[in-house]
Amino acid sequence: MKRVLLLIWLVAVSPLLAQVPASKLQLHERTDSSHRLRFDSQVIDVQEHFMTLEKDLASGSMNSLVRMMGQQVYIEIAGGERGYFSSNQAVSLLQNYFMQRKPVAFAFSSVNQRAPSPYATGRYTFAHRGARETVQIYVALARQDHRWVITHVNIY
Amino acid sequence: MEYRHPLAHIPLRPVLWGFFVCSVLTVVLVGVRWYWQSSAQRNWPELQAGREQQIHQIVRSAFYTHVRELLDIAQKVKSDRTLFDDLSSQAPTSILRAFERLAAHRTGDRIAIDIVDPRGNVVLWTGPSARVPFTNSRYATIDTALALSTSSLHTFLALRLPVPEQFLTVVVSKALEVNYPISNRFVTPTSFAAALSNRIGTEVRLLVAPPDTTRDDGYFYVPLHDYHRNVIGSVAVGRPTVESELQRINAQIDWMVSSLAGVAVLLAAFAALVSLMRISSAIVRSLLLTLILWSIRFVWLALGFPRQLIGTSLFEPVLYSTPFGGGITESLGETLITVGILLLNVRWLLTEVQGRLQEQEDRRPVHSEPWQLLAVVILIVAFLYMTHGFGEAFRSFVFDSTLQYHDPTALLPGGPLAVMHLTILLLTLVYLALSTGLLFLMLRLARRAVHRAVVRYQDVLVVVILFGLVWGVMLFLPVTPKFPSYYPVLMFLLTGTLCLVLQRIGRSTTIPGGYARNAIWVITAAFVAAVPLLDHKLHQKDREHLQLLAEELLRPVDSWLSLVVNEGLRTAADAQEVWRLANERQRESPSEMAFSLWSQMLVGREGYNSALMLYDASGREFSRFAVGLTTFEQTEMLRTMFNAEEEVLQVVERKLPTGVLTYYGAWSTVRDSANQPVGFVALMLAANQRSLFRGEAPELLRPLTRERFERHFREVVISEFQNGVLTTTNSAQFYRGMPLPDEVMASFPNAQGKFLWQTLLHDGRRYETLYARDDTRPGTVLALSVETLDIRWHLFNGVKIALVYLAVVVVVLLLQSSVRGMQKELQALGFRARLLIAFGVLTILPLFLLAYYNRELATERLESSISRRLVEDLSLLERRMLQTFDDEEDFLNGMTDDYCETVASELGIDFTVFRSATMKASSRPELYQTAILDSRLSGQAYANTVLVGRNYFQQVEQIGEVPYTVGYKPLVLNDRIVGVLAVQALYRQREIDEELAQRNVYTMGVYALVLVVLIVLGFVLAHRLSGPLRELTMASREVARGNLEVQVTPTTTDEIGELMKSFNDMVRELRVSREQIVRAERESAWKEMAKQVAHEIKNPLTPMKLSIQHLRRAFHDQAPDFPALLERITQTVIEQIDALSRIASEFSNFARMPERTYERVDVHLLLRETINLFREIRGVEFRTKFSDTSPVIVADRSELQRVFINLIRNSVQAMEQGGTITIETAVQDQRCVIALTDTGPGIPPSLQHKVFEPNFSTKTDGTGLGLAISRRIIEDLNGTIQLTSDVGKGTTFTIILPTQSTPHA
Repeated sequence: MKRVLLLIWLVAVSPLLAQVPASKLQLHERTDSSHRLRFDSQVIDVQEHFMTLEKDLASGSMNSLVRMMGQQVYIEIAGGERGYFSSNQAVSLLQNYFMQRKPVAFAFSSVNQRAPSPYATGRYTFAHRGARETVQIYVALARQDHRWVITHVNIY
Repeated sequence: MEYRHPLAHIPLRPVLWGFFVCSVLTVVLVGVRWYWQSSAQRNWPELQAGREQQIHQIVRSAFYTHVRELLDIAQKVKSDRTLFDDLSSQAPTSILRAFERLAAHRTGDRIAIDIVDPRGNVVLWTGPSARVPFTNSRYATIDTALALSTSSLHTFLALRLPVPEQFLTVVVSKALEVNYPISNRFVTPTSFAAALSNRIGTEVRLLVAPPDTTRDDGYFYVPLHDYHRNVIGSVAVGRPTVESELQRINAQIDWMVSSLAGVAVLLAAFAALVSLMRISSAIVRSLLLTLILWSIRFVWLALGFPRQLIGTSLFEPVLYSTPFGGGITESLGETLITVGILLLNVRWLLTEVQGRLQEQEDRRPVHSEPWQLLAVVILIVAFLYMTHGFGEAFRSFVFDSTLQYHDPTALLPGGPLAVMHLTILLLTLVYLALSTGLLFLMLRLARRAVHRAVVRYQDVLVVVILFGLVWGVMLFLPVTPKFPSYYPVLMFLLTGTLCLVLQRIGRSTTIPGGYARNAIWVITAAFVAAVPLLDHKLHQKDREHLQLLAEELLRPVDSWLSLVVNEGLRTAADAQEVWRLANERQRESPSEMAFSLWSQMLVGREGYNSALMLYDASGREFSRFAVGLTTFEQTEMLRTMFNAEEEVLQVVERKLPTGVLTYYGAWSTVRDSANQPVGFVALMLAANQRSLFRGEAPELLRPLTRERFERHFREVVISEFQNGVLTTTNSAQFYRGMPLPDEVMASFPNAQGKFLWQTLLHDGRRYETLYARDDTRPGTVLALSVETLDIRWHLFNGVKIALVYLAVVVVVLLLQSSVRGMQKELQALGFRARLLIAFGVLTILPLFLLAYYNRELATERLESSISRRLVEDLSLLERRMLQTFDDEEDFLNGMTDDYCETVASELGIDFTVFRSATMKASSRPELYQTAILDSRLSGQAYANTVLVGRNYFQQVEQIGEVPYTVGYKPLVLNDRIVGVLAVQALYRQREIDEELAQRNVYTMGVYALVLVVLIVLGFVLAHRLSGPLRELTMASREVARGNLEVQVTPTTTDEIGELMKSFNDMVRELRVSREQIVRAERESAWKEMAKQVAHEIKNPLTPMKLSIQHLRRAFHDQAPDFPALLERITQTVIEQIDALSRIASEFSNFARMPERTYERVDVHLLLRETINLFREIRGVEFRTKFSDTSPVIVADRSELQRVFINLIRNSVQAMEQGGTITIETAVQDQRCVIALTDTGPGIPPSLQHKVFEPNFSTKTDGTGLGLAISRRIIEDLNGTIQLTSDVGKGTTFTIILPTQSTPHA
């Protein structure tokens, strides 16, 4: 019995070390559905992505950001970090940023849906140190492996 | 019986007290936080007033700290007599000295010191010029004055201190604030307001104006006074709100709560751990320990401990981050803690598993159990998944991090990288511990499964065959972990080799680490496992980045840059005040209008090379600001832009020999609120490089991709092929017309993606090349090539990581030493180990010296090279000027910015000309107009060139955060210095780094080879030197065990050879002596035995003789009670005969033992069983202090138990009044030590030497043979038994037995 428990433990512990980036898994899941899209539906697709992002950012949720993050993302935060980061790092950086700045309001003011690099910018109003502050957020998408991913986030 | 681990003996009282104190403080702080929250909300108006008062004091204190700093400097200058003496001497060299002395008084880059005469002329200066508002007339006053002033870029604080005796004034100024959010690239960031804001917790602005108390705009104003209580400025502070206050106070309380609770959790866990050690079930103990360790981990994570306490970048995701495990690897610091806990957990569990398995091995009879092959298969699958996890962790370490693993400019990695290497090392140790553990388990199961030996090493064979089968099958299964097929095989081989080494050195069977000797092998294995894997992943990441660069280059329009241009146009259009002033002709400072607008634009904040042009309603340009773009570039771009529609982004490419430059630009009409045109604005920016000056090594727009390679000092060659022929390249090695390789031509039409990797051999160099198809331009292929890193780079990186690992070993050894004492630690190391350490130190020391020498040499060579280049540039410019200007008047009239721009374009050198100490003209005038560069010639440059007349002078200055070298040369016309030429060299640091990298890699890479050779040689030499000594040591041990047949073979004729000969002689002598002693002892024993036998036999014989005589006499006398007498006497005789028989048996037992059955005996188990036999005896308490691992010896189990029974019985019988028997065990140098101590009356010294002799007994009913027999049994097991006794205190019998050695038959 004890040996069986030991074996179970060893088998259980080894997969704990297996870190497969979340985005990698999602990539496989989404490949098929993305593949079916036609060019004329891409604009709608991009619009939907931006709408989801807008909704999530306005409500303080990181779900769509996590889901849509590309393998390498260029992040630039005014007075903060700047450079290319992996999707995992990019999510952490943005999570830290938005956790300290709870949203009051957010909406994309301009959206460019044209391929190959659609982008959107909007004003993000947040509560910080008891006062309201605003920044501009720029998000660019690109088509990678048959799906739209975030390639550039600039908070300025 | 209760199990007691050594940890269980640690006293818990201090730990529990610590826990109690931390917990109470935590609860108190949480209470204070709650109370403060509710109280602040209730009484906010009163609190707000108090807080505002407090902020007043903080602001004033911060401001006057700066004032004090300036005053200190001014007073030091004032009291510097030598300076004023030098200044007043009027001799150029003396004035030069005065300039140098003044420069020495500067305490920072932002400080400027001017010495001003009564007319307001600056006669001596150092640092950047500040716009100081003291009027000329006031310089004659004797008052100390203070002022705040602002220029286009900075807000200054200036202090004036008169020096009446010299009729001069010292003015010290400091830039307190940068007025615009311009990129750090142009301006050194400094902000008095931001520092205050961070401290206070609300928004702060520094104003060069008195407080505006009339407006209620959410701010309150703190006036700033000078020495006469005049208001010179103010600080606007956002009114504190209850939320901001709560946030500020809560942050402080949370920090303390986190720290205290973190420590409390640690103490509680420690106490739980100690209590846990009393549990005898290893499985329960292990599960609870795992639970405790991971509870600490997650509770710490939730508390933010020690992140909040330490608060360094190690805990920021910018260095490394993954979402794995709910945040336990969200930063480098957290990952290190997690891996540390994992290592502790794994080490503990493997120790437990090892102990349990060993016990089972000893208890259970060995028989064939084929089903265990299934368990081997399961373990192989576990091994494969674990290896996959290990590989994935490495992928994450590389891909989810921004650390520069390969920085060839540094010999030792920086702090964060060292922490990452430590994390990698610890995780590799976890992997090796688990994989070796799994392999040992597999071998054990294989041994049990196929019990009957058919071939040698059949267990290994079985595991290898099963591994091959399982891996072969898993390759075709969809659930198989994805990694290169050779990778798990390599890891399996590595693990197998490590197992073999660990078994051979006999230190451990499952757990690496713990012992210095083991650590060397385990760390070596970790190095072998980690470094190639890391290298492989880094190579993958480099490829990914090159692909990213290709994608960037193939993208027709960068959406971000187009947004930057559009945003710029929008910002300009929104600045209605600028356009109103422009059209009302109220333009006092036109260039500043464009600069002011540019500074507020995204383009300025991002720091792009760009130009902004403002035109009024009539189309006349009234203001322009440009940075990093030449007039030619601006004109070309404007032409293209104005030929296109307004607000339509223009992307223009210029193909140069060094590559393609891309510009983005657009123009638009600005309209007022009535939609009437009020002006036009044009904005352009350079998209892919950011050099400020011609000839400067370009900075890159985005800090990765190309930069990443160039930080390796590998140039990215970008080439474009049109229809299979190279048309453009930035490489000197490649040439136009070069054909696209055939295999690329063949592959591309069929290639699934648009990227293709190929290795390109060209001119004897090997390039890794990424070919990218440009879908927007058919027939176009982009090729990005980087030269393959040769073996020297890999060796250099290997050496660096090896140094980190070595540092870890040294730290661990030092920690161990501090616990055990350095002397003991050194003594514990063998002669060979010490020799090896000495060799290691001797070989590594030159490495550091070489690195230092390389750095110094590279710096020196580069500085001299830069000086040479600057001198050449300045001479070229001088010659050009001398051709242009005939005399001073000609120079004054003709030296304009346009002229400088023309010459700069012609010669490819940007430069500035100073007249006296003021900027006269420049090819980059905008940098001076906007105060990015100082328009005043630096004091020392002025003194050296103008006053002393030196032909060349250079010094290091700074733009933004970038230091650069400036060369100065006086321009002489008709023997008169008419100006000073200045040329900047911004490439300085980069070129030093390049040179250093090359030197490091080429010398250190080779040195790494030498290092390896030296270490191998050192190992061989140490082995040869220590070999005879080890042989002598082993022989001495044999002699100590009684083997006098041993001989050593002298291999040399030196001192060691002599020592070996002497040893042989000594052993020979000992052998002879022993034979003589044995002979004498044997005779003595025989005599003793004869005496004893005679004595023992005589004793019963005498009563027998007397009885029989008595019987005969009674028979002769025909005694009436003869039958009764006969009965009694025969009974006596029979009894005596029985006694004789018993004596004969005892002697027989002593002389000849029964046939023995040898087996592996678990000493602890046997001792416990023996103790249990005596448990029922009242008044005797048994205590055990057993070693961690149970020693196993080969012996006759029942015979050894007789020894233990004999010793314990003797002790029990000796303690008539009761007492304690303590049994301790220890394992030392493959020997088992068993000590049995009683608290009996002890044995007098006079009797101690007799106790092992036959027939000696202090008991009335003893035969006196028990201890003699015991000694015989122990000695037959190659062991010893000794006695120590103190009368009145007790007796100790110490048995030393070899573990698992073959006994004498």
